[in-house]
Amino acid sequence: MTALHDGLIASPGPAGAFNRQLRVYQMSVSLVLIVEDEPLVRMLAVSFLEEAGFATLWVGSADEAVALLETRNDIRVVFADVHLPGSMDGLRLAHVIRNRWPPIELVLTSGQAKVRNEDLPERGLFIGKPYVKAELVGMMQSLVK
Amino acid sequence: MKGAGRREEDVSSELTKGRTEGCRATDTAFDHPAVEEEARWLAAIVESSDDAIVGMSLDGFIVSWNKGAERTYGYLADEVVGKPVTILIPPDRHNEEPAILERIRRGERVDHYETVRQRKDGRLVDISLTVSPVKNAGGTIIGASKIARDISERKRNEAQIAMLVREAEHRSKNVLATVQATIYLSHADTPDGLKRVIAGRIQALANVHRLFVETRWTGAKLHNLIAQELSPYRLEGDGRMRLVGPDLMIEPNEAQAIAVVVHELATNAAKYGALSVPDGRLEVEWSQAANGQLTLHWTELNGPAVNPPTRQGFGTSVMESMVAARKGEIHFAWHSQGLSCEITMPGVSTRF
Repeated sequence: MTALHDGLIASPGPAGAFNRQLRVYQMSVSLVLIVEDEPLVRMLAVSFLEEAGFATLWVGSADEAVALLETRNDIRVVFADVHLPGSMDGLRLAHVIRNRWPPIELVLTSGQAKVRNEDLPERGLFIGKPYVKAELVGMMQSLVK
Repeated sequence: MKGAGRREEDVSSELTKGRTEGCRATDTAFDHPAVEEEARWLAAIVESSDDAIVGMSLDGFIVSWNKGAERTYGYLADEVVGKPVTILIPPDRHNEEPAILERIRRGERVDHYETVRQRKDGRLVDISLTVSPVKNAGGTIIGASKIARDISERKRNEAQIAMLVREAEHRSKNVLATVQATIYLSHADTPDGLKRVIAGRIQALANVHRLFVETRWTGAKLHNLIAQELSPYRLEGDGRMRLVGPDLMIEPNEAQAIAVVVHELATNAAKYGALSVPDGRLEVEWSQAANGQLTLHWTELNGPAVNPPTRQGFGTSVMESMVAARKGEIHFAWHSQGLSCEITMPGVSTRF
Protein backbone atom coordinates (compact mmCIF):
# COMPACT_ATOMS: atom_id res chain seq x y z
CA MET A 1 0.00 0.00 0.00
CA THR A 2 2.97 2.33 0.47
CA ALA A 3 3.59 2.39 -3.24
CA LEU A 4 -0.03 3.15 -3.83
CA HIS A 5 -0.03 6.20 -1.57
CA ASP A 6 3.25 7.41 -3.04
CA GLY A 7 1.69 7.16 -6.46
CA LEU A 8 -1.32 9.17 -5.45
CA ILE A 9 0.68 11.85 -3.67
CA ALA A 10 3.01 12.23 -6.63
CA SER A 11 0.15 12.64 -9.06
CA PRO A 12 -0.68 16.18 -10.16
CA GLY A 13 -3.97 17.87 -9.40
CA PRO A 14 -5.57 17.06 -6.08
CA ALA A 15 -2.26 15.99 -4.56
CA GLY A 16 -2.06 18.95 -2.19
CA ALA A 17 -5.55 18.46 -0.89
CA PHE A 18 -5.01 14.76 -0.63
CA ASN A 19 -1.78 15.24 1.30
CA ARG A 20 -3.59 17.32 3.85
CA GLN A 21 -6.33 14.73 4.09
CA LEU A 22 -3.81 11.97 4.44
CA ARG A 23 -2.20 13.68 7.40
CA VAL A 24 -5.58 13.93 9.08
CA TYR A 25 -6.17 10.25 8.44
CA GLN A 26 -2.85 9.27 9.90
CA MET A 27 -3.64 11.15 13.09
CA SER A 28 -7.22 9.98 13.51
CA VAL A 29 -9.40 6.96 13.13
CA SER A 30 -10.13 5.77 9.59
CA LEU A 31 -13.74 6.17 8.58
CA VAL A 32 -15.40 3.29 6.72
CA LEU A 33 -18.71 3.70 4.89
CA ILE A 34 -20.66 0.43 4.97
CA VAL A 35 -23.18 -0.03 2.16
CA GLU A 36 -25.34 -3.02 3.06
CA ASP A 37 -29.10 -3.48 2.92
CA GLU A 38 -29.32 -6.48 5.26
CA PRO A 39 -29.56 -4.95 8.76
CA LEU A 40 -28.12 -7.89 10.72
CA VAL A 41 -25.14 -8.24 8.42
CA ARG A 42 -24.61 -4.51 8.53
CA MET A 43 -24.67 -4.54 12.34
CA LEU A 44 -22.06 -7.28 12.27
CA ALA A 45 -19.80 -5.26 9.95
CA VAL A 46 -20.20 -2.21 12.22
CA SER A 47 -19.24 -4.29 15.28
CA PHE A 48 -16.26 -5.95 13.60
CA LEU A 49 -14.84 -2.65 12.36
CA GLU A 50 -15.55 -0.52 15.41
CA GLU A 51 -14.04 -3.14 17.71
CA ALA A 52 -10.93 -2.95 15.54
CA GLY A 53 -10.71 0.82 15.95
CA PHE A 54 -12.39 2.04 12.77
CA ALA A 55 -15.15 4.61 12.72
CA THR A 56 -18.17 3.62 10.63
CA LEU A 57 -21.09 5.13 8.81
CA TRP A 58 -23.70 3.07 7.03
CA VAL A 59 -26.31 3.37 4.31
CA GLY A 60 -28.56 0.77 2.68
CA SER A 61 -28.15 1.60 -1.01
CA ALA A 62 -25.62 2.81 -3.57
CA ASP A 63 -27.64 5.95 -4.27
CA GLU A 64 -27.49 6.91 -0.60
CA ALA A 65 -23.75 6.19 -0.58
CA VAL A 66 -23.16 8.58 -3.50
CA ALA A 67 -25.32 11.26 -1.86
CA LEU A 68 -23.31 10.91 1.35
CA LEU A 69 -19.94 10.98 -0.43
CA GLU A 70 -20.98 14.23 -2.09
CA THR A 71 -21.36 15.87 1.32
CA ARG A 72 -18.19 14.75 3.09
CA ASN A 73 -14.54 14.17 2.37
CA ASP A 74 -13.42 12.13 5.38
CA ILE A 75 -14.47 8.66 4.13
CA ARG A 76 -11.38 6.52 3.73
CA VAL A 77 -12.85 3.15 2.66
CA VAL A 78 -16.19 2.12 1.18
CA PHE A 79 -17.24 -1.42 2.08
CA ALA A 80 -20.17 -2.38 -0.17
CA ASP A 81 -22.35 -5.42 -0.77
CA VAL A 82 -22.57 -6.29 -4.47
CA HIS A 83 -26.33 -6.87 -4.32
CA LEU A 84 -28.03 -3.63 -3.43
CA PRO A 85 -31.49 -2.23 -4.03
CA GLY A 86 -31.94 0.86 -6.19
CA SER A 87 -30.48 2.08 -9.46
CA MET A 88 -26.92 0.78 -8.90
CA ASP A 89 -25.45 -2.40 -7.55
CA GLY A 90 -22.27 -2.48 -5.47
CA LEU A 91 -20.00 -3.08 -8.46
CA ARG A 92 -21.30 -0.05 -10.32
CA LEU A 93 -21.03 1.99 -7.15
CA ALA A 94 -17.40 0.91 -6.80
CA HIS A 95 -16.61 2.05 -10.36
CA VAL A 96 -18.40 5.36 -9.82
CA ILE A 97 -16.35 5.93 -6.66
CA ARG A 98 -13.10 4.95 -8.37
CA ASN A 99 -13.79 7.62 -11.05
CA ARG A 100 -15.21 10.39 -8.90
CA TRP A 101 -13.25 9.90 -5.66
CA PRO A 102 -10.04 8.11 -6.68
CA PRO A 103 -8.34 8.14 -3.24
CA ILE A 104 -11.13 6.16 -1.55
CA GLU A 105 -10.30 2.48 -1.03
CA LEU A 106 -12.90 -0.12 -2.00
CA VAL A 107 -13.90 -3.47 -0.56
CA LEU A 108 -16.79 -5.45 -2.04
CA THR A 109 -18.63 -8.36 -0.51
CA SER A 110 -21.23 -10.84 -1.72
CA GLY A 111 -22.78 -14.21 -1.04
CA GLN A 112 -21.81 -15.14 -4.58
CA ALA A 113 -18.67 -17.23 -4.62
CA LYS A 114 -16.46 -14.70 -6.29
CA VAL A 115 -16.66 -11.50 -8.23
CA ARG A 116 -14.42 -11.72 -11.27
CA ASN A 117 -11.22 -9.78 -10.84
CA GLU A 118 -11.71 -7.97 -14.12
CA ASP A 119 -15.06 -6.68 -12.84
CA LEU A 120 -13.47 -5.07 -9.79
CA PRO A 121 -12.28 -1.48 -10.08
CA GLU A 122 -8.59 -0.72 -9.76
CA ARG A 123 -7.32 -1.43 -6.19
CA GLY A 124 -10.71 -2.94 -5.33
CA LEU A 125 -10.72 -5.96 -3.02
CA PHE A 126 -13.30 -8.69 -2.52
CA ILE A 127 -14.33 -10.64 0.57
CA GLY A 128 -16.96 -13.43 0.43
CA LYS A 129 -19.90 -13.71 2.80
CA PRO A 130 -19.95 -14.87 5.49
CA TYR A 131 -16.58 -13.36 6.43
CA VAL A 132 -14.60 -13.71 9.63
CA LYS A 133 -13.58 -10.69 11.65
CA ALA A 134 -9.81 -11.16 11.30
CA GLU A 135 -10.03 -11.37 7.51
CA LEU A 136 -12.15 -8.24 7.16
CA VAL A 137 -10.15 -6.23 9.67
CA GLY A 138 -6.84 -7.36 8.13
CA MET A 139 -8.04 -6.29 4.70
CA MET A 140 -9.16 -2.87 5.96
CA GLN A 141 -5.93 -2.32 7.87
CA SER A 142 -3.84 -3.15 4.81
CA LEU A 143 -5.80 -0.53 2.85
CA VAL A 144 -5.44 2.33 5.32
CA LYS A 145 -1.87 1.64 6.42
CA MET B 1 -38.21 -36.89 -48.74
CA LYS B 2 -37.81 -33.95 -51.05
CA GLY B 3 -34.73 -33.50 -53.10
CA ALA B 4 -34.13 -37.07 -54.20
CA GLY B 5 -35.37 -36.33 -57.73
CA ARG B 6 -32.88 -33.50 -58.18
CA ARG B 7 -29.87 -35.36 -56.97
CA GLU B 8 -28.40 -36.31 -60.30
CA GLU B 9 -28.19 -32.73 -61.61
CA ASP B 10 -27.22 -30.96 -58.39
CA VAL B 11 -24.75 -33.02 -56.53
CA SER B 12 -21.06 -33.38 -57.00
CA SER B 13 -19.57 -35.71 -59.54
CA GLU B 14 -18.32 -37.90 -56.75
CA LEU B 15 -21.79 -38.38 -55.38
CA THR B 16 -23.32 -38.85 -58.84
CA LYS B 17 -20.76 -41.50 -59.51
CA GLY B 18 -21.58 -43.13 -56.20
CA ARG B 19 -25.30 -43.09 -56.86
CA THR B 20 -24.91 -44.50 -60.34
CA GLU B 21 -22.73 -47.30 -59.12
CA GLY B 22 -25.16 -47.90 -56.28
CA CYS B 23 -28.10 -48.11 -58.65
CA ARG B 24 -26.30 -50.45 -60.95
CA ALA B 25 -25.26 -52.73 -58.12
CA THR B 26 -28.79 -52.97 -56.77
CA ASP B 27 -30.66 -52.79 -60.09
CA THR B 28 -32.27 -56.14 -59.69
CA ALA B 29 -32.92 -55.53 -56.02
CA PHE B 30 -34.88 -52.31 -56.69
CA ASP B 31 -37.09 -54.18 -59.13
CA HIS B 32 -38.19 -56.37 -56.27
CA PRO B 33 -41.43 -55.01 -54.75
CA ALA B 34 -40.43 -55.98 -51.18
CA VAL B 35 -37.21 -53.98 -51.34
CA GLU B 36 -39.01 -51.02 -52.85
CA GLU B 37 -41.51 -51.26 -50.00
CA GLU B 38 -38.68 -51.27 -47.49
CA ALA B 39 -37.09 -48.21 -49.09
CA ARG B 40 -40.42 -46.42 -48.83
CA TRP B 41 -40.65 -47.44 -45.17
CA LEU B 42 -37.25 -45.99 -44.45
CA ALA B 43 -38.03 -42.79 -46.34
CA ALA B 44 -41.25 -42.38 -44.33
CA ILE B 45 -39.34 -42.85 -41.10
CA VAL B 46 -36.82 -40.19 -42.08
CA GLU B 47 -39.58 -37.87 -43.21
CA SER B 48 -41.56 -38.17 -39.98
CA SER B 49 -38.57 -37.72 -37.69
CA ASP B 50 -38.63 -34.72 -35.38
CA ASP B 51 -34.90 -34.38 -35.87
CA ALA B 52 -33.55 -32.49 -38.86
CA ILE B 53 -32.08 -35.08 -41.22
CA VAL B 54 -30.02 -33.64 -44.04
CA GLY B 55 -28.14 -35.51 -46.74
CA MET B 56 -24.92 -33.87 -47.80
CA SER B 57 -22.45 -34.52 -50.57
CA LEU B 58 -18.77 -34.88 -49.79
CA ASP B 59 -18.10 -31.38 -51.11
CA GLY B 60 -20.60 -29.85 -48.75
CA PHE B 61 -23.80 -29.48 -50.80
CA ILE B 62 -27.27 -30.36 -49.49
CA VAL B 63 -28.83 -33.31 -51.34
CA SER B 64 -31.85 -34.11 -49.18
CA TRP B 65 -33.91 -32.32 -46.56
CA ASN B 66 -36.69 -33.76 -44.37
CA LYS B 67 -39.65 -32.11 -42.62
CA GLY B 68 -37.68 -31.96 -39.34
CA ALA B 69 -35.04 -29.88 -41.14
CA GLU B 70 -37.78 -27.55 -42.40
CA ARG B 71 -38.97 -27.05 -38.82
CA THR B 72 -35.51 -26.67 -37.28
CA TYR B 73 -33.98 -24.37 -39.90
CA GLY B 74 -37.04 -22.69 -41.41
CA TYR B 75 -36.11 -23.44 -45.06
CA LEU B 76 -38.29 -25.57 -47.37
CA ALA B 77 -36.52 -28.41 -49.20
CA ASP B 78 -36.83 -26.61 -52.55
CA GLU B 79 -35.04 -23.59 -51.13
CA VAL B 80 -31.94 -25.42 -49.99
CA VAL B 81 -31.37 -28.66 -51.89
CA GLY B 82 -28.32 -28.06 -54.07
CA LYS B 83 -27.09 -25.19 -51.91
CA PRO B 84 -23.93 -25.36 -49.82
CA VAL B 85 -24.59 -26.51 -46.26
CA THR B 86 -22.69 -23.45 -45.01
CA ILE B 87 -25.87 -21.36 -45.42
CA LEU B 88 -26.91 -22.95 -42.10
CA ILE B 89 -23.70 -22.10 -40.33
CA PRO B 90 -23.27 -18.78 -38.52
CA PRO B 91 -20.27 -16.79 -39.81
CA ASP B 92 -18.21 -17.33 -36.65
CA ARG B 93 -18.45 -21.12 -37.04
CA HIS B 94 -17.57 -21.56 -40.72
CA ASN B 95 -14.35 -23.33 -39.76
CA GLU B 96 -16.37 -26.21 -38.29
CA GLU B 97 -17.56 -27.62 -41.60
CA PRO B 98 -14.20 -28.46 -43.26
CA ALA B 99 -13.18 -30.34 -40.10
CA ILE B 100 -16.44 -32.32 -40.09
CA LEU B 101 -16.07 -33.15 -43.82
CA GLU B 102 -12.50 -34.25 -43.29
CA ARG B 103 -13.59 -36.74 -40.64
CA ILE B 104 -16.39 -38.04 -42.87
CA ARG B 105 -13.95 -38.60 -45.77
CA ARG B 106 -11.88 -40.71 -43.38
CA GLY B 107 -15.01 -42.74 -42.65
CA GLU B 108 -15.41 -41.42 -39.11
CA ARG B 109 -18.58 -40.39 -37.36
CA VAL B 110 -19.20 -37.18 -35.44
CA ASP B 111 -21.39 -37.93 -32.45
CA HIS B 112 -23.63 -35.51 -30.54
CA TYR B 113 -21.58 -32.48 -31.36
CA GLU B 114 -23.21 -29.47 -29.68
CA THR B 115 -23.12 -26.40 -31.83
CA VAL B 116 -25.18 -23.49 -33.12
CA ARG B 117 -26.84 -23.08 -36.50
CA GLN B 118 -28.63 -20.17 -38.11
CA ARG B 119 -32.24 -20.37 -39.22
CA LYS B 120 -33.63 -18.77 -42.36
CA ASP B 121 -35.03 -15.93 -40.22
CA GLY B 122 -31.54 -15.29 -38.82
CA ARG B 123 -32.27 -16.66 -35.35
CA LEU B 124 -29.66 -18.97 -33.88
CA VAL B 125 -30.65 -22.46 -32.82
CA ASP B 126 -28.73 -24.74 -30.43
CA ILE B 127 -28.39 -28.22 -31.91
CA SER B 128 -26.82 -31.55 -31.12
CA LEU B 129 -25.35 -32.83 -34.37
CA THR B 130 -24.51 -36.36 -35.43
CA VAL B 131 -22.80 -36.76 -38.79
CA SER B 132 -22.25 -40.21 -40.34
CA PRO B 133 -20.68 -41.22 -43.64
CA VAL B 134 -23.04 -42.62 -46.28
CA LYS B 135 -21.55 -45.41 -48.41
CA ASN B 136 -22.68 -46.87 -51.68
CA ALA B 137 -23.08 -50.60 -52.22
CA GLY B 138 -19.42 -50.79 -53.14
CA GLY B 139 -18.42 -49.35 -49.76
CA THR B 140 -17.27 -46.02 -51.14
CA ILE B 141 -18.13 -42.97 -49.05
CA ILE B 142 -20.35 -40.78 -51.20
CA GLY B 143 -21.71 -38.29 -48.69
CA ALA B 144 -22.94 -37.79 -45.16
CA SER B 145 -26.14 -37.82 -43.21
CA LYS B 146 -26.43 -34.97 -40.77
CA ILE B 147 -28.93 -35.48 -37.99
CA ALA B 148 -29.54 -32.43 -35.86
CA ARG B 149 -31.63 -32.29 -32.72
CA ASP B 150 -32.93 -28.92 -31.61
CA ILE B 151 -31.63 -28.56 -28.04
CA SER B 152 -32.64 -24.92 -27.51
CA GLU B 153 -35.09 -25.89 -24.79
CA ARG B 154 -32.52 -28.00 -22.97
CA LYS B 155 -30.04 -25.11 -23.22
CA ARG B 156 -32.64 -22.74 -21.80
CA ASN B 157 -33.32 -25.18 -18.96
CA GLU B 158 -29.61 -25.52 -18.28
CA ALA B 159 -29.19 -21.76 -18.17
CA GLN B 160 -32.14 -21.51 -15.79
CA ILE B 161 -30.72 -24.23 -13.54
CA ALA B 162 -27.35 -22.47 -13.48
CA MET B 163 -29.14 -19.25 -12.55
CA LEU B 164 -31.06 -20.99 -9.77
CA VAL B 165 -27.88 -22.57 -8.43
CA ARG B 166 -26.22 -19.15 -8.29
CA GLU B 167 -29.31 -17.71 -6.61
CA ALA B 168 -29.44 -20.56 -4.09
CA GLU B 169 -25.77 -20.09 -3.30
CA HIS B 170 -26.27 -16.38 -2.89
CA ARG B 171 -29.29 -16.83 -0.63
CA SER B 172 -27.74 -19.51 1.54
CA LYS B 173 -24.55 -17.48 2.01
CA ASN B 174 -26.63 -14.49 3.00
CA VAL B 175 -28.62 -16.58 5.44
CA LEU B 176 -25.37 -17.85 6.93
CA ALA B 177 -24.11 -14.28 7.22
CA THR B 178 -27.32 -13.38 9.04
CA VAL B 179 -26.92 -16.33 11.40
CA GLN B 180 -23.29 -15.38 11.97
CA ALA B 181 -24.37 -11.83 12.84
CA THR B 182 -27.02 -13.16 15.20
CA ILE B 183 -24.48 -15.31 17.03
CA TYR B 184 -21.84 -12.62 17.21
CA LEU B 185 -24.18 -9.87 18.37
CA SER B 186 -26.20 -11.82 20.95
CA HIS B 187 -25.37 -11.54 24.62
CA ALA B 188 -26.61 -13.30 27.75
CA ASP B 189 -25.43 -13.79 31.30
CA THR B 190 -24.91 -17.55 31.06
CA PRO B 191 -23.83 -19.92 28.30
CA ASP B 192 -27.22 -21.66 28.42
CA GLY B 193 -28.99 -18.33 28.27
CA LEU B 194 -26.91 -17.38 25.26
CA LYS B 195 -27.74 -20.63 23.49
CA ARG B 196 -31.44 -20.08 24.12
CA VAL B 197 -31.32 -16.51 22.83
CA ILE B 198 -29.46 -17.48 19.66
CA ALA B 199 -31.65 -20.53 19.00
CA GLY B 200 -34.79 -18.40 19.37
CA ARG B 201 -33.52 -15.77 16.96
CA ILE B 202 -32.45 -18.32 14.37
CA GLN B 203 -35.87 -19.98 14.74
CA ALA B 204 -37.53 -16.62 14.07
CA LEU B 205 -35.54 -16.27 10.84
CA ALA B 206 -36.40 -19.85 9.89
CA ASN B 207 -40.10 -19.20 10.55
CA VAL B 208 -40.29 -16.24 8.25
CA HIS B 209 -38.36 -18.14 5.56
CA ARG B 210 -40.92 -20.91 5.77
CA LEU B 211 -43.67 -18.39 5.12
CA PHE B 212 -41.73 -17.08 2.11
CA VAL B 213 -41.38 -20.58 0.70
CA GLU B 214 -45.15 -21.07 0.97
CA THR B 215 -45.69 -18.05 -1.28
CA ARG B 216 -42.77 -18.92 -3.56
CA TRP B 217 -40.75 -16.10 -2.05
CA THR B 218 -43.22 -13.34 -2.89
CA GLY B 219 -43.87 -12.46 0.75
CA ALA B 220 -45.74 -13.44 3.88
CA LYS B 221 -49.13 -12.69 5.36
CA LEU B 222 -48.69 -10.23 8.21
CA HIS B 223 -51.19 -12.01 10.45
CA ASN B 224 -49.50 -15.40 10.00
CA LEU B 225 -46.11 -13.90 10.52
CA ILE B 226 -47.06 -12.32 13.86
CA ALA B 227 -49.07 -15.36 14.99
CA GLN B 228 -46.12 -17.60 14.23
CA GLU B 229 -43.70 -15.55 16.32
CA LEU B 230 -46.17 -15.49 19.20
CA SER B 231 -47.09 -19.19 19.00
CA PRO B 232 -44.50 -20.36 21.59
CA TYR B 233 -46.24 -18.18 24.20
CA ARG B 234 -49.77 -19.04 23.22
CA LEU B 235 -51.67 -21.69 25.12
CA GLU B 236 -54.61 -23.75 23.87
CA GLY B 237 -57.75 -21.56 23.79
CA ASP B 238 -55.63 -18.67 24.94
CA GLY B 239 -57.59 -15.44 25.05
CA ARG B 240 -54.78 -13.27 26.26
CA MET B 241 -53.50 -12.30 22.82
CA ARG B 242 -55.46 -10.28 20.31
CA LEU B 243 -54.26 -9.76 16.75
CA VAL B 244 -56.25 -7.18 14.83
CA GLY B 245 -55.63 -5.87 11.37
CA PRO B 246 -56.37 -6.19 7.66
CA ASP B 247 -55.23 -9.19 5.65
CA LEU B 248 -51.93 -7.94 4.18
CA MET B 249 -49.29 -9.75 2.18
CA ILE B 250 -45.91 -8.18 3.02
CA GLU B 251 -42.87 -8.39 0.75
CA PRO B 252 -39.86 -10.41 2.00
CA ASN B 253 -37.63 -7.53 3.18
CA GLU B 254 -40.34 -5.86 5.23
CA ALA B 255 -41.65 -9.23 6.41
CA GLN B 256 -38.24 -10.25 7.72
CA ALA B 257 -37.84 -6.94 9.53
CA ILE B 258 -41.26 -7.30 11.16
CA ALA B 259 -40.64 -10.95 12.08
CA VAL B 260 -37.37 -10.09 13.82
CA VAL B 261 -38.95 -7.16 15.66
CA VAL B 262 -41.97 -9.20 16.77
CA HIS B 263 -39.68 -12.00 17.91
CA GLU B 264 -37.64 -9.59 20.04
CA LEU B 265 -40.77 -7.99 21.50
CA ALA B 266 -42.30 -11.40 22.24
CA THR B 267 -39.22 -12.83 23.98
CA ASN B 268 -38.91 -9.62 25.96
CA ALA B 269 -42.59 -9.80 26.98
CA ALA B 270 -42.20 -13.44 28.00
CA LYS B 271 -39.19 -12.63 30.13
CA TYR B 272 -40.10 -9.32 31.73
CA GLY B 273 -43.43 -8.12 30.36
CA ALA B 274 -47.09 -9.03 30.08
CA LEU B 275 -46.42 -12.59 28.84
CA SER B 276 -44.40 -13.32 31.99
CA VAL B 277 -47.47 -13.27 34.27
CA PRO B 278 -50.70 -15.34 33.99
CA ASP B 279 -53.04 -12.32 33.79
CA GLY B 280 -50.98 -10.37 31.30
CA ARG B 281 -52.50 -9.61 27.90
CA LEU B 282 -51.12 -8.56 24.58
CA GLU B 283 -52.71 -6.64 21.73
CA VAL B 284 -51.13 -6.30 18.33
CA GLU B 285 -52.93 -4.02 15.91
CA TRP B 286 -51.89 -2.90 12.47
CA SER B 287 -53.22 -0.78 9.64
CA GLN B 288 -52.07 0.51 6.30
CA ALA B 289 -52.60 4.08 5.11
CA ALA B 290 -53.50 4.96 1.52
CA ASN B 291 -49.88 5.98 0.85
CA GLY B 292 -48.69 2.51 1.83
CA GLN B 293 -47.41 3.41 5.29
CA LEU B 294 -47.78 0.52 7.67
CA THR B 295 -48.37 1.21 11.37
CA LEU B 296 -48.15 -1.53 13.96
CA HIS B 297 -49.00 -1.12 17.63
CA TRP B 298 -47.78 -3.57 20.23
CA THR B 299 -49.50 -3.06 23.57
CA GLU B 300 -48.88 -5.09 26.71
CA LEU B 301 -51.61 -4.94 29.38
CA ASN B 302 -51.93 -6.21 32.95
CA GLY B 303 -48.24 -6.91 33.04
CA PRO B 304 -45.66 -5.90 35.63
CA ALA B 305 -44.44 -2.33 35.58
CA VAL B 306 -41.46 -2.05 33.26
CA ASN B 307 -38.57 0.37 33.03
CA PRO B 308 -36.44 1.33 30.05
CA PRO B 309 -33.44 -0.98 29.67
CA THR B 310 -30.27 0.28 31.31
CA ARG B 311 -28.08 -0.67 28.36
CA GLN B 312 -28.80 -1.10 24.68
CA GLY B 313 -28.60 -4.82 23.95
CA PHE B 314 -28.93 -6.73 20.73
CA GLY B 315 -32.73 -6.78 21.02
CA THR B 316 -33.18 -3.03 20.96
CA SER B 317 -30.47 -2.34 18.44
CA VAL B 318 -31.61 -5.05 16.05
CA MET B 319 -35.17 -3.77 16.20
CA GLU B 320 -34.07 -0.20 15.53
CA SER B 321 -31.69 -1.31 12.82
CA MET B 322 -34.25 -3.52 11.09
CA VAL B 323 -36.85 -0.78 11.05
CA ALA B 324 -34.37 1.95 10.07
CA ALA B 325 -33.22 -0.19 7.14
CA ARG B 326 -36.77 0.00 5.79
CA LYS B 327 -36.83 3.78 6.42
CA GLY B 328 -39.26 3.32 9.27
CA GLU B 329 -39.40 4.38 12.89
CA ILE B 330 -39.86 2.53 16.14
CA HIS B 331 -40.85 4.12 19.45
CA PHE B 332 -41.01 2.46 22.84
CA ALA B 333 -42.99 3.52 25.89
CA TRP B 334 -42.50 1.79 29.21
CA HIS B 335 -45.49 2.11 31.47
CA SER B 336 -47.10 0.55 34.53
CA GLN B 337 -48.84 -2.33 32.71
CA GLY B 338 -46.03 -3.22 30.35
CA LEU B 339 -44.35 -2.09 27.16
CA SER B 340 -45.98 -0.25 24.30
CA CYS B 341 -44.34 0.00 20.96
CA GLU B 342 -45.27 1.75 17.75
CA ILE B 343 -43.64 0.86 14.45
CA THR B 344 -44.20 2.77 11.24
CA MET B 345 -42.80 1.82 7.85
CA PRO B 346 -43.40 3.95 4.77
CA GLY B 347 -44.28 2.62 1.34
CA VAL B 348 -44.70 -1.03 2.30
CA SER B 349 -45.74 -2.86 -0.85
CA THR B 350 -48.49 -5.26 -0.08
CA ARG B 351 -50.58 -7.51 -2.23
CA PHE B 352 -53.92 -9.04 -1.41
